[in-house]
Amino acid sequence: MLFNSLDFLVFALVFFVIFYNFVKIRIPLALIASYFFYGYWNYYYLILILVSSLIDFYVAQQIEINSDKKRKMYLLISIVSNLGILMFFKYHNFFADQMSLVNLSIPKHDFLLPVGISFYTFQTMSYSIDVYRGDIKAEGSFLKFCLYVSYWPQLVAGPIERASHLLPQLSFNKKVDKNGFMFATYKILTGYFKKVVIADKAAIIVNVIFDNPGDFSSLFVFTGVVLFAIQIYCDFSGYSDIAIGFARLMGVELNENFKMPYFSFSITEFWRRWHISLSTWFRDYLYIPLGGSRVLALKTFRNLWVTFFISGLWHGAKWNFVIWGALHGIFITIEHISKNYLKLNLPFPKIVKYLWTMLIVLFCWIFFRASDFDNAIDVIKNIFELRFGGSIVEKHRVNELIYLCLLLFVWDYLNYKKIYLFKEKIYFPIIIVTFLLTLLYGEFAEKGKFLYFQF
Amino acid sequence: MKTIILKTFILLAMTFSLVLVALVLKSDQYIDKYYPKFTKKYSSLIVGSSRAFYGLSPEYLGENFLNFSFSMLTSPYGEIYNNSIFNKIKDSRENIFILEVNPYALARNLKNNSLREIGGVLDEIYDVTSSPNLEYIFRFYEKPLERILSKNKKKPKFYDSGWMYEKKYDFFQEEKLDGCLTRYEKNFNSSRYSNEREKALVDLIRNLKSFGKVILTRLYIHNDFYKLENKYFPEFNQKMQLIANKYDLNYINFNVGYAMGKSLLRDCHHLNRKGARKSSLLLFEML
Repeated sequence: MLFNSLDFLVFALVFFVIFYNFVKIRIPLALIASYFFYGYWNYYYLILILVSSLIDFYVAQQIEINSDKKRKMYLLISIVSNLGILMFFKYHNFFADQMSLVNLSIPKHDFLLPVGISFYTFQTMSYSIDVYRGDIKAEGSFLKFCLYVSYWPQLVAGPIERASHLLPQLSFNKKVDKNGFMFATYKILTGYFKKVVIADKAAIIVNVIFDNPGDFSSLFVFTGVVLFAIQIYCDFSGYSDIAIGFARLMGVELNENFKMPYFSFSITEFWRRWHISLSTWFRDYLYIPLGGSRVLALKTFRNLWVTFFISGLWHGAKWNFVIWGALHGIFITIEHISKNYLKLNLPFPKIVKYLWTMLIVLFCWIFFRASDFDNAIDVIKNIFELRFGGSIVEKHRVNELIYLCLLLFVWDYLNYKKIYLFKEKIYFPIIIVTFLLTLLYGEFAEKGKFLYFQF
Repeated sequence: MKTIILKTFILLAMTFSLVLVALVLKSDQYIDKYYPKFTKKYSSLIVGSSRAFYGLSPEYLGENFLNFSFSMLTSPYGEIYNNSIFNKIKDSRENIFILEVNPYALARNLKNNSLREIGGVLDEIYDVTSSPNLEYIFRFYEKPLERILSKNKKKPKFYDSGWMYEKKYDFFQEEKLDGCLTRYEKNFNSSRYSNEREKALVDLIRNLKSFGKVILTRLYIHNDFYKLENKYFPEFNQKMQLIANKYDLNYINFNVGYAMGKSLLRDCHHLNRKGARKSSLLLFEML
């Protein structure tokens, strides 16, 4: 179910009416709602969530009661089964395609890619690892554990939550107070604003430019890349905001997934602000177990690079995602070398550092958005050809977007400077203005799926 | 806590209602080119693809007509289009239906199993006869609502009849012919005549006949384009003629035996205003 659909609004309304009125059945209610939310897209794929939940629930219990050797075996079962599901549905066909290049024929399958599979498999896997490490105790209630795996606000596009943070909250013991309610409403509305007003509007222009980069001037193609950066931020952080808002209405606090990433002065900082739940997941469950930065320099670079390579692959079974991840890995390694080994502290003004960082981020986004490698090269070529003239699309929309993006930029900048305008006295005006802007400037025609669902 | 929830809910509902009222008040003006096709029931319909959308004008056929044709992508013959058509018809025995046919409107893609109209407006919309049609405005209007509210856009002259012509594109440019032929050849190459679509057309004819008179027509297109269509779908005219004979209808092919010409085209396979006038008047005479 899409957050930006009428079906979802009806679902949410019915859910919260029951949720607030029947306190005792909140856990089973939330679980049924979560399965309905997911099954609305495809009921058959609920089996995958159930299988994943069953395995990890059982495995975690066994890890807790068994000795060292058996604990390892059970952990392995969890990792192999979760990655196995992911590999089969998401990467099998990609792998078969690569094998066909070396004349090895592997049959492909026709299964749809289950929505949000990368999110929930990572979430369940981290639970088993945490139990193995002794960071948390195995959950005793199967119902509650199933809810942890399938909790509807963050099921299909995150934030990826750790069991230690989310599971205790799923008893729904925390009451929602006035500030919590207003914050939740504000988060939901700003999420929708980012999605239907900015991301969907930007998408219309971005799609045209990326489909035919040769038809436009270099400046306009570059504008398309900038717009994609805005689109993906507003699309994904918009989804996260809506998820955080709806969870908050249940008294559950999800982690912030974005902290104004386009106010970063290095790639390292960008990754501390972008898709935080995924980058910390990779840090804790891949980078550090590989040795992190507490090993020899070359090994550290390898660890960094492997982490980003896999992070790229996590986003999709296509080479352009892998290249996107690998490029980030390379740039972050360069930063690491210059800072920690060469001890370079070049006296560049902040604005230069900022522009340099943004140029790298934008360059990498080209590979992420392009339909394939050739398309990415085509876009880059068209920017550097420095061609003038060409057509301009959707002039009215571009102008509208500029104003709306400026508004969002100022808002984010104030938050970045820790100047919070969302204060008690003006709760309602801010909520009404956000709602009205969303209603009037939103792109409601049915086309805007959230980009991160595909991952 | 209950007060705060109620207060928020009421404020949001009031804001929404205000926007809704403003939209209702403004819905009488120009919304977009498809909107008037979804506002009320009609007794007589022009049905087909974009060729009929541009090429047949109710202006010359009578005020009971609505041009209920869309595009090759949205309205090829099939169950989805048929259902929308049935929902549009006024219950009467005196209706007239002009069914524009062309090979691509009765073809299916060879590579893609799913129908191309799935997910389109005709597949998704529930309400095709309300005025104002808020479902259309909220779900299918492709621009922000602010555009409806902030401007007083006068309705173009023929807007309510579902027919439109665009002055700035209303002439044929020879230099664009090759591009157009190449583009469509690609489509034709990956398509085949569909018996399922033919069956849907026959179903439509059978049902419409119980409401009145039905005419089948293949509108005039550029000669080179006509040759291209005939190359990929050589038996098309024959098949249409067979259907027409079986159900006792007229099949009028404007590409054979009619004095048409390039000056009547807006591009390689769409008529311009003059072309629409000519073919509509010719059909009117036959009615």
